[in-house]
Amino acid sequence: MGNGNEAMGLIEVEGVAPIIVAADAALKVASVEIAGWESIGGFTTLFVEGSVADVTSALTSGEAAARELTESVVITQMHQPEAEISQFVGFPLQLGFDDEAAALGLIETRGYGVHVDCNDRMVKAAKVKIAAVLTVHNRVVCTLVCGDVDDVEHAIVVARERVESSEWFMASAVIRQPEAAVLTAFTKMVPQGGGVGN
Amino acid sequence: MATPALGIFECRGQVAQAAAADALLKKTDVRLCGRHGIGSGWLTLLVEGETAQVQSAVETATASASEHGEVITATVLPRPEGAVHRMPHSEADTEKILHASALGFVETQGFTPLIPSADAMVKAADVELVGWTFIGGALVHVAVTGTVDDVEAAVAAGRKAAASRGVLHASLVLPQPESALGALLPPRRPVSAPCVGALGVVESTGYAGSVASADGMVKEAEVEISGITIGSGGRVATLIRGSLDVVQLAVEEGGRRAAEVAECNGHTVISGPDPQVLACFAYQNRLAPGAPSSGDQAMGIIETRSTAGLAKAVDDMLKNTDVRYGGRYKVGYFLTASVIRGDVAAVEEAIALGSQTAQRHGELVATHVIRLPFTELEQRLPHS
Repeated sequence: MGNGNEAMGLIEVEGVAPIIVAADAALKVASVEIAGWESIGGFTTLFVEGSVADVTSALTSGEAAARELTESVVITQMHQPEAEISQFVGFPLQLGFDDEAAALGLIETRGYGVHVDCNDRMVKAAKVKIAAVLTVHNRVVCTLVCGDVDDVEHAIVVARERVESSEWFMASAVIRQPEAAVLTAFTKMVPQGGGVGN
Repeated sequence: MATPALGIFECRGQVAQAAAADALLKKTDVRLCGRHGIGSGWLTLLVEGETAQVQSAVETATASASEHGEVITATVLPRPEGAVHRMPHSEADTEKILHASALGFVETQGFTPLIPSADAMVKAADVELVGWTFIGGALVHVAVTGTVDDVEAAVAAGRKAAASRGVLHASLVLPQPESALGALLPPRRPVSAPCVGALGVVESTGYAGSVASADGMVKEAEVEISGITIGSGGRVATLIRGSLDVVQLAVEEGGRRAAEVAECNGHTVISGPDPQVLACFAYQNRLAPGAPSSGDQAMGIIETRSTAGLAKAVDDMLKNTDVRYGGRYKVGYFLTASVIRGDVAAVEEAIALGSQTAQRHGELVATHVIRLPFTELEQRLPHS
């Protein structure tokens, strides 16, 4: 993206939880950077950059992680991407943050009201902090909680008890030692770009 | 005072939410403390107060909203943690106050029924058009205020006009609405607008269809584009104005073009539109900042249900053909579009190539090439 990276990889899913786990999985196996992510109202897309070999392995790992949560995952890769492609990143990674957590928990459903209830249950049941509540339209809402591994795991169990029997439940996950860039990318967003965004 | 209990109420539709909010505020002693919309028409309202009151408020809301639409969630948290007040619903302004003897809503699927409905309402009675907004899933609504008799007459006329043009979703008249309902009203629009002979509306799903129809209309007839407006659910309305006969001609052409390129959801003409309606819907979009350069002979639009497919297609087009990038736009409902520019042959070659790429890496929805785009059209396009 004008910074000399050889390649860019994109991972696209419905909802947002699958690209969060994909981003972490990508960063853990390859030397890539997160450029940011985008939501077009329903689908979200993760953008990573690096050498061709790194982007390839990041996509393989990210896609496999995303598939744990959803069936439909689209990946694509560009070599020497044109500079204009940077404009497709609706939520570029904000620099200057140094986020840290032992674990990151995700709970994704359709509907917002249930998240208020779930989040109340999670913070009561375990020592976790609500890091973000993302709404990506088409009724999809994802809550991100941070804390120690045991706490986050327990919080997600409690949240799942509340929602997993509902027809609106979509996905949940616990990421151990989440990459700092993943925490920043999905909790410190400043939108750019026109049209229906947030 | 102990931590107040929190009531959470989520339903589909603005009318359902407004009916629920008015009923619970009238019957129980609670305070609105948040709201949040997540698309597809799903709206959440939060209230706080003493536990028994909040419990009763949520029950009242459920009963009231059920008459107008679907209830998604109705829950009470007797002792909520402070953390839940740091969620998106708390960022909403719940302090806006409404002063009116009656409040009315008409809610429709899309603009084609909504705009004539708003016009019929303000013409039928002495009401003030507060504004309009979308809440996802192509659900859009207008709100009016006035005396009880006027609002009732307006809503009756609005229902009739909407039902004859498309899908009427719901409507509501609230006599003596609670002042806190001000928080639920759409934003106010500019108050003044010049008079025109007619207002034309062409509604399509996706950006490509709306641009194609706008281009067709300005080339077909002496009309002015008032704006290109997003209505959620992928819906985009192109609004034009001019004299009645010319607008009628243009709208037919616009509807035909939109249907060729994408899906046309409807079109309609409002003769002698009320100035309030023009101010509400057809206010001028800002002019594009870096207005079009114009040596370009053509512009091409490619629209997909996929950011990945679109980005890959644009990358391919820029690498392999002699075109320049002209911006991108997203209209919700999984749709996003990009614009490219160049001479006619290059743009056609690029769109052919981009279509193949987009199909391989996502879902291609529409493409369109405009030869000799009009400067005025380009200045009204919101993608840059």
